[in-house]
Amino acid sequence: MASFGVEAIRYFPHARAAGYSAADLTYTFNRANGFDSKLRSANHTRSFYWANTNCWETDIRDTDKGGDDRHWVDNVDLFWIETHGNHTGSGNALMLYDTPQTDWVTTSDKWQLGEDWNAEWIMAYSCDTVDRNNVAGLWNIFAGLHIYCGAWGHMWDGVTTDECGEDVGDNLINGHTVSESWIDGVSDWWVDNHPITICVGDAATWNGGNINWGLSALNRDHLWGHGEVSPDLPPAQQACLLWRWTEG
Amino acid sequence: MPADRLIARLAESAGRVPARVPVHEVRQHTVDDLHDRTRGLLEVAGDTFGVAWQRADWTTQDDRTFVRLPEGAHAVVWHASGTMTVSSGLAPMAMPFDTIPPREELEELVRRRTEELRLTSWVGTDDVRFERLWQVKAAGAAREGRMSEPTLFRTVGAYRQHVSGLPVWGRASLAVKLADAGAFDSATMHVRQTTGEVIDEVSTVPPDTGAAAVVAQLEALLGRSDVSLDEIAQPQWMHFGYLSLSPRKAQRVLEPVYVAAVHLEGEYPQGYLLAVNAGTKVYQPLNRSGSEPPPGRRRMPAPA
Repeated sequence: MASFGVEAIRYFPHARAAGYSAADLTYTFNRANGFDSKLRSANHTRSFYWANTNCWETDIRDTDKGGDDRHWVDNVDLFWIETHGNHTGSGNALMLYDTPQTDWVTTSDKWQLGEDWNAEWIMAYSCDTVDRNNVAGLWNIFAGLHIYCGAWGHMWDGVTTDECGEDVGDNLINGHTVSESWIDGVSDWWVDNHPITICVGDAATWNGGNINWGLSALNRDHLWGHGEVSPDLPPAQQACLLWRWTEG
Repeated sequence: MPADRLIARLAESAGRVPARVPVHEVRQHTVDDLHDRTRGLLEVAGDTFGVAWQRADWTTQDDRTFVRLPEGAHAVVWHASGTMTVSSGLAPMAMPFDTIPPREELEELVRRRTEELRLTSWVGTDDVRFERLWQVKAAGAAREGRMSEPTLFRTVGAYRQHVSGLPVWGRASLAVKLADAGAFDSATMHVRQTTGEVIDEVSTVPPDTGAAAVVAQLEALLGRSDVSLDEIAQPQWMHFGYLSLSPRKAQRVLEPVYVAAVHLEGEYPQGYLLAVNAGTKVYQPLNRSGSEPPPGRRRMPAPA
């Protein structure tokens, strides 16, 4: 079975006081609690659940870059995070925290996930962490990581997206692929959520540009115990980056 | 933009709002009823797509029933709302479209297949109208930077339930997902079927009052911020109608609401979908407080 961690930030008073323009959210914990309860109902192991100021940017920052991911995000199979997000001009994901431990913001150029062969999947219910015109800006995070599930635009906080966490969790434990669990689970086919899932592939998957989608982690990966999981792909074998998204 | 301009723009986008609106009773289903409906849906879907789904493994849980079908197909019905979904088990990256057809062709494909499935008949006497087309695509890039053209894997037709001529906002009332050549992937019906009984007729609050309530929610989310809502709020729209809550929530009535979409721009942009009651009499107040996390420990930094 899988181990998973949850970090979710609903309130941002300290970040605002420090000059960041970030309003509070409303349904953060509806989603995070729902995801957590669904996975635990299927006997997956919650390794940690941090909320608000207990969420630290060092949890996802690589140990080699002064962070502590080895004990947190890179120490679980699946990590769910919800906070405000954006991306840099270089295509790096940004996420905001409400306490500077040690920075207010994490930047994905400091992530290197799966290098201890633990982190397989990241799910970030945060706006705009992926630049669809520069997805390669996230390549460095795949040090064994299988799939990053994020957004290439807004992810809405509202009365019709309050059950997205349960929906993603239900999909995962019902045997949907990880990619489909995210895309289907956060889409209500009304508000303009912008889910995207990204993975790395080997040369056989790239296939000279005629992509063999069937080999990709987007097609193969399921939560542990609910179907096939593709092998870890170390950086030396990564020939391509593949992504799947919805648009209205 | 001052908050009064934000209020005015939201109110304007709501259009004309009727002075009085019926409050409809929502049909409540027993779990047995829902199982019968699910069997019926599986029969129709199976007939239409030439799939034999006589064998099924039914698991009833607290909030839903999960029906496992041959070859990865499955159905789910949520007990609180009666929302049903049926999935063919088609692998999500299987059966991509050869090319990306024009939007009109995709819409026509979705409409035709939805009619063949007779899905709108499951709504009962209420009206269901096509609303929006979605597409699920994928692409890739090689190490040296070479990009692939996008491939279309699925198209989704979203439909909206209307009652008494008013839309029932919320998740798509009906979403039909198709693969290449119209191959069936899945369908979800999230419909608050009415009993036909109007239990009341309530006066509505005017759009500017509704918009002011929406803006008050946003102001509360900004707390004691130095950043002014006036500067960062970009209203998308405000709609009047009814609202269907999420599938795990029971709902006894359809009563008038305003729903508004507002972007807060800035370094960390965020989209908010806010709903407020629009009747002078409220039968089912909307929960706008959200949940809190499970009780936790104070986290201490690891020793250096």
